[in-house]
Amino acid sequence: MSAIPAPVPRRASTPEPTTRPALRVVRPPRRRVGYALLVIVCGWLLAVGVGAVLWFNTTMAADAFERHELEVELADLAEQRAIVLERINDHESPASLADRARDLGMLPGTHITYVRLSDGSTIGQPVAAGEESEEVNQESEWAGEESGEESLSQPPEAEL
Amino acid sequence: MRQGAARPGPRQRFIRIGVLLVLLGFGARLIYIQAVQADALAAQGVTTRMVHYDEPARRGDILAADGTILATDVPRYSVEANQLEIDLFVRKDSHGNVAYAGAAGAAELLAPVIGWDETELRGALTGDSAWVPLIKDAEPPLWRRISELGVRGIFGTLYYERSYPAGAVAGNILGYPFKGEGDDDHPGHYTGLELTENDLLTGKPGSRDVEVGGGGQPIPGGEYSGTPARSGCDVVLTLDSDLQWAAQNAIDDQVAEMGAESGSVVALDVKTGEILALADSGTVDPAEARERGLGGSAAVEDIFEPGSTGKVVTMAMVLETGEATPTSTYSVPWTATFGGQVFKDHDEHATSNWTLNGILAQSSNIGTMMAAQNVPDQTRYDYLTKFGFGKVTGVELPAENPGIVHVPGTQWWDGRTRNTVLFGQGVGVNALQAAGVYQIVGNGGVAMPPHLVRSWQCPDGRTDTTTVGKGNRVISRDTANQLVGMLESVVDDGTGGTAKITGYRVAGKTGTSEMIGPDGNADFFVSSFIGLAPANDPRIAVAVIVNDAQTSSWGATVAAPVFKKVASFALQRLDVPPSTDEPVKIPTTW
Repeated sequence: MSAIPAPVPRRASTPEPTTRPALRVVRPPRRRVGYALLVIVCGWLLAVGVGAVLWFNTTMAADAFERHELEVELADLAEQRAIVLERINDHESPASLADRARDLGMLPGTHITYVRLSDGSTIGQPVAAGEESEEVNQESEWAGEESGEESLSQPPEAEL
Repeated sequence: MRQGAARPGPRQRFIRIGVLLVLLGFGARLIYIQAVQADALAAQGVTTRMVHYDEPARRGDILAADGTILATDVPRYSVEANQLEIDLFVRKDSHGNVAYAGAAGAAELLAPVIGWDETELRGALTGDSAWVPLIKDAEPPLWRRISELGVRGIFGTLYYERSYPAGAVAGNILGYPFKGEGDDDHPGHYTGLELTENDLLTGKPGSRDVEVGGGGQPIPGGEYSGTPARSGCDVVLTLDSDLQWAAQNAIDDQVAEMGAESGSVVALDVKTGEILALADSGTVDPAEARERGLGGSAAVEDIFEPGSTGKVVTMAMVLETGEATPTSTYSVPWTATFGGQVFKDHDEHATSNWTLNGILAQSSNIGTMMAAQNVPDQTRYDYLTKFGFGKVTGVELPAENPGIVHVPGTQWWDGRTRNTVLFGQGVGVNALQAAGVYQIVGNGGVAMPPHLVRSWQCPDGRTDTTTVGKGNRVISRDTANQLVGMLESVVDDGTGGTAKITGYRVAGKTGTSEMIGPDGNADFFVSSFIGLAPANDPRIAVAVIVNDAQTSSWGATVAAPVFKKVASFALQRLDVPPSTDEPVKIPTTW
């Protein structure tokens, strides 16, 4: 007798009835369109960005030229203005105006007459320019003068 | 069997090492350039593109009260040539042929524009000098025509030149820029108002450092630094340019007609102390000052003895101290002794019964001394100083002469001087001080400090106006009114008849004094007239001083006619209506 246990006879396998569902064709998973969109957007952004940078740089360069031209023009205009002002100042100086007036035959008016608005009366005596009124030519009857000190007690002969 | 083909390893290794070393070299160089030298090279690149511009500052204008520009800065170009650059000048025509080249070509282009002889210009452009001045003061249009020619080696430097558009009008007080030897384009010192107002007038130069492209245009985003030039402030004066011109003409004409040495006119607004005119004979355009000579303002720098125009101070003193009234009576001889000293009137006359008013009207020295005999010396001195004698007025002009007033108790205040000061001798005043006495009288006894600057305004918007306050009362209003009445008698019934102005009441005083002339002899006469108009409500005080007239020495003959011209003009300019009331007659005799 052997100490080894007798092998247990294996039960003969019996086919079991199939329970899993029937296979069917599955649709392939939807493609991850998000990546493509991202790439498109990024590409678009990159293109727009690069384009914008190019455009801005080109515009800035053009503006720099325009600004330079305008600055030159501004300086020219400022100088022209200064020259014109210089001429105007020369013309409106009292001496220039007097010369021009004299050339036109004008004379300084020495007697201005005023109209008083409150009663409509005139103040002053109108005298034509270049004419002296009698009153203007009046000399003081007292023809003498004074001196500061006794040393002037003998004034020039013309005044005696 | 070929051995080399059989052993490719060492060669490949050699090539690999070689390539590696080259790449390492490139890398090292790259690192050296990009990391070590980056800043220096970038800075060097920027430096070659940087251009530095200096911007000169425009000096402020000086304007008259009526807006007329008396002094201004105008742009000018200093045109220079670099002979070395001109030697490289080449201009080709449309076919690519050389049309102009070198100094000859440049001279051919430039000569007709700048009006030089072509041969002479070619000589100036030939040589090895880097700097040859061609035109010192080219106006901008001329420089524009020159620059448009595009000649290499021709440069223009902008600067501002001081210009005086009104010519000689106020030239004596405006001053002018000094120009040191060899430094014609860079004046550093000034006279007159150009000096006293220099801090306001001076602008601040600017500069720009710009990174530019080949055409000189700024590079976008490039380096840009600097500060713009800042113009100086404009200074507005109290002067009326037309009145100043009229006063200068009037005094010039009279000096010529009378064979006088010189003369001055001062016109003050009695209510504000504003100086409406400050004229000296012989004034020249400041732009020609260097060639023709232009001093400062004689009206404030020179002093004279006021003579009888100074009697108004004595009259104010005796009225104010109660020693007399305008109708106080005196029997006045033509000569008298005071303190052991003999004095005389200008003319021999019988003893006359004059009132105080009559004494002033007849300008009697004896009568004036009689009226003031009881007034102590200190009071005499006090009144002279109260009326502004012996101290500067503070007007905005350099080198004002304070005049001379001797102090009681000193050796100079002797027995004669204590009396002569009563009739304007023994004291020295400048014309502005002399006019100031009448400003006080005409303003009801209140002194307003005379001033030339009304306001100033700066490009940054800062602005200010001269404030003079309420003034300083010197005498009472009653005394001032009495004095105006007495001075009117001088013109109506006394020595000042030639100062009458049709339609206006005039108050004033003639004066003649004798001074030591340049030859040391006492034969130098100063003739004067100082007056107020209209006497019924004084607006202006006008002082006329004529030095050493040859045809006459009387103030009535020499100075009063100038007063009449200037005061008439001033009254018109100020729109002062003629006087409608008659003066109150104060008796001159009894």
